Amino acid sequence: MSNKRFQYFLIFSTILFTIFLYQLYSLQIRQVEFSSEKIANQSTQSYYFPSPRGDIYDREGIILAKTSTVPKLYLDTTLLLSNEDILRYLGFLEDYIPSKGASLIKEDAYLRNEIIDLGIINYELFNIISLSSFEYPAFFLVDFPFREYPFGSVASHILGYTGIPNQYDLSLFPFSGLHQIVGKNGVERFYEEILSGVPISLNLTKTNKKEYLLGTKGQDLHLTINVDLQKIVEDSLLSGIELANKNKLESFNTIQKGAVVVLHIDSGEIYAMASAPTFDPNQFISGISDAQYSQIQKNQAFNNFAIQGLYPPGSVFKAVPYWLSYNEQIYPEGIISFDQKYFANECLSFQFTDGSKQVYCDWKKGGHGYVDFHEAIQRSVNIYFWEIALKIWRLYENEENESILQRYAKDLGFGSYTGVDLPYEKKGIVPDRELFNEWQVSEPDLVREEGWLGGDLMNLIVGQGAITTTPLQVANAYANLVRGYTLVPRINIEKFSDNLEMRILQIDSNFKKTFLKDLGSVTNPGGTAYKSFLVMGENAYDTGGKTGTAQTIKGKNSTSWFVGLDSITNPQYIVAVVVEEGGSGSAVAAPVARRIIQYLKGLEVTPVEFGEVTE
Amino acid sequence: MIGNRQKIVIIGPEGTDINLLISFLLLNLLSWVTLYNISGTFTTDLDNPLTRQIVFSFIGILVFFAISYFSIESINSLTPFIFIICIVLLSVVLLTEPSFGVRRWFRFGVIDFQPSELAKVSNVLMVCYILSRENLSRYYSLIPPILSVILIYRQPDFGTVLIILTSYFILMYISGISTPIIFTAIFSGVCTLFLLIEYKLLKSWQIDRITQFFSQESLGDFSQQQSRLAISSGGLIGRAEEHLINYGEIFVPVKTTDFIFSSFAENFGFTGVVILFMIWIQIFYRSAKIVQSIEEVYSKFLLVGLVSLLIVQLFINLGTVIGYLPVTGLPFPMLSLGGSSIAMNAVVFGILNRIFIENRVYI
Repeated sequence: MSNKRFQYFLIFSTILFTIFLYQLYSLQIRQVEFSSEKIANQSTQSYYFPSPRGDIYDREGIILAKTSTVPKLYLDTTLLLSNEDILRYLGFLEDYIPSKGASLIKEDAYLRNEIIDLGIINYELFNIISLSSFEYPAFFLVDFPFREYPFGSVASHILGYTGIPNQYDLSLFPFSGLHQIVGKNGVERFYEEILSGVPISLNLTKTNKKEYLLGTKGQDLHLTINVDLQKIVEDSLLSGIELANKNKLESFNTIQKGAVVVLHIDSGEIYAMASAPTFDPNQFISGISDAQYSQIQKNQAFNNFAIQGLYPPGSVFKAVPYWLSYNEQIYPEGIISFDQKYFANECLSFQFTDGSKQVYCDWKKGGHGYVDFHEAIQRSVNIYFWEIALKIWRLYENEENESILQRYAKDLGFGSYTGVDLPYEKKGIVPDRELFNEWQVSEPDLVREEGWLGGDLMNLIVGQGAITTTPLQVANAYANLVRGYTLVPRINIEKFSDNLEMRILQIDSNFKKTFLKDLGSVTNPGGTAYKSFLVMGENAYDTGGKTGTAQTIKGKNSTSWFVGLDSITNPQYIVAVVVEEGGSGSAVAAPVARRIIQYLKGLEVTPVEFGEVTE
Repeated sequence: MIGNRQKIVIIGPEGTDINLLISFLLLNLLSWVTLYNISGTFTTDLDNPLTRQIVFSFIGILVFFAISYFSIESINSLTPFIFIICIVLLSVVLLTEPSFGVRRWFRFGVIDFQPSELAKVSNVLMVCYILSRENLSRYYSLIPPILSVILIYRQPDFGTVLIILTSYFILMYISGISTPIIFTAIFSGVCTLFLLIEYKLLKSWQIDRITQFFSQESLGDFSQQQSRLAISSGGLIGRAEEHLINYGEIFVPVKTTDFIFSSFAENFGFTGVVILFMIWIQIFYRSAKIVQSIEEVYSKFLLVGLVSLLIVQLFINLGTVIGYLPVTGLPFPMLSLGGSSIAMNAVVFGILNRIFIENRVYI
């Protein structure tokens, strides 16, 4: 035996001991804080299981969105003991869910503390696993909530739909990541924080101790809508669109878009809101194919056109100059009151101060003859309103009051968000000189070089040109005019509009009376919507409204508008209907509104029939 | 040093080496405290790791004294017999039902016996037996390790194979074989390992562990990283109290057995580690002194063999726990939970005790 070599061995061992000791020293003394931080981060692993979302009810307490459960399978690797154990579980998964398992479970899973999500399983497998829970203790089943919409596509634009949160959703609603579900649209999104509850959490500590924290269900939501009315509204809108397609000229596109808003005047509550085309929110639960999704996307079916559709309002905008004229006593040249007759030619020819000569022709061949302001509304006499625009222009060009019409429009809520509790609302445009000057810089394609001209005001006064509005804005504007003050429209019955947002408008009782009476004349003999309301017989006397046919770009049919009132003596609801490329408002939109008004008044609901083509 | 020359007869014939006994008992105690910290409970139930270990420790103490009764000479004469029993047990264990994918244990109710633990000691005994015979060529000593390694490899138990080969290599090195042979041995050893990996004679997970170990960017695989975290969190004096309040415990796999050192370091900090090292180092230091002072060849070889066996186990376990070596699955001597391991370490300590008693010197 070599003593020398034994000494080498001792030296070698000493060196190794020193190395180990140094390594332990640097780990325990020098890196202790760094490690403590790391440990604090990973000391407990939390897994979250979604709690059911709150249910959504209509105003009568009928459930519109509820939560059902499906069994979901998880694997708790803390209960796995060895490689062999894993193989046993893998074998089981291979037999029953071959598509999953193998890829999800790693061979060293038993070394880890993890909860592995094996996905939703069917009830057959649920039974098998329940029965063999003794044999496979690491499997555990969770009742996984999923959203159900019992009425399918009804009110889908109001309710919205749910889906797996993406990066943007997570930045808005950090907790949605724990639920693995987030409202993507509609009230599901607007009230995400209320509807989503507290997720169940399972904290795994490293000692294999498990701590369950019970979650709570999300809060229920009661909407202002009435589902029966909603069905009638959607149905009426669809038949209106069908009607428009039947009567359109061959050269125009297929008509499929439209929207309806039924607004309760006194409360600002939305009783129904429809948008076409529509979608079924149920199809997102188990995931839809890319093709299906892009089809919906292509149709713009996710869009709620009642708040996102931007249309020039056409003649329904005439209520604004009507109000302006009443307050400001501005009438066509030579006219001094509402009741004085004005002779309306077919065409209006005039000269601006800039020297440009213009000719504006009314929709009615041969002209309307002698009309007062009441008849100008009833028959939608454009010439009358152009004269008013001309008067404004001549009185106030380049003065502060040049934008008096825009100011009145903005007072009623045009050009700004209504503040409805639904996401992605659009605010539209009320054009004026200022905006045109801005556009000359930012979007020179949209405006001509000269900027804001008298012709633009002429366009604006009949709701044409650059002005865009949403159906809800129009409904809200009419409601404001009828009630005399502004209110924020709402969809959640428990949300009360902020008093600060309430503005008293310059409206006296006499104006209200006159306004309602003139709206009433539209649906009665001599009015543009008379033919559409004829089917109501005597009941039509009390109704009112205003038609609108907004011209759009060439090659496209006009946008069909109608704003209806259920009653002119005791007005409760505003019904605003728009059919994109629907053509004449009196022919298409008016009968849709008429059918809804029939329902609102508790009358027999008759089919939507093509009305008289006017404007 | 207390009691070196005192003949305090407790059970042993000439008086047990008190220093060694205290070290042995201290190590047992440290094991208990560590296991108590891991399990956090103490019950009379034999499923509780601490309770099991206490039972094993008492068996170990009995074995320690029982072995001390045997003179080195009688151990020498019993060696071939022990080795044959060991080989038989290693063969029979291969016929048992596999548990956790390997055939490594004889199951006796609550207690499992692992013959590969016995093989570690019996190999050292047998190799020393051959090396100490002058009429035998020292190359005959190749037979016992090769025989047991083949059998253990079939279980498979790569860690034990590694320990038997390394401690054998150390013994041969110290026995004075020529330098070219040593290099040849190292070279062929490395080649064999590569061949084993290349021809997939190792189990896939064994290869995975090795390749994973070398492909990791940071030190060690997942369990080793956890283990390093646990060690590091111990700080200077450990966080035996604090960690239960502030953080959950750190997940370290098999922390009662293979990774017990990380729990120990977590609970007692660097101070505890230094104390543990000192206990071991003084055992080795005293053994080394005796090795150099005694003349009798067999005792000398036996002492070297047993010490190198302990050192190799310590280093491989430490290397694994810190992340220097791939995970092989070896217990830390005296600390790790396990009846066979404690019993075999008691045998080693018993023999050391006997050699110390028979070769009393001033240290």
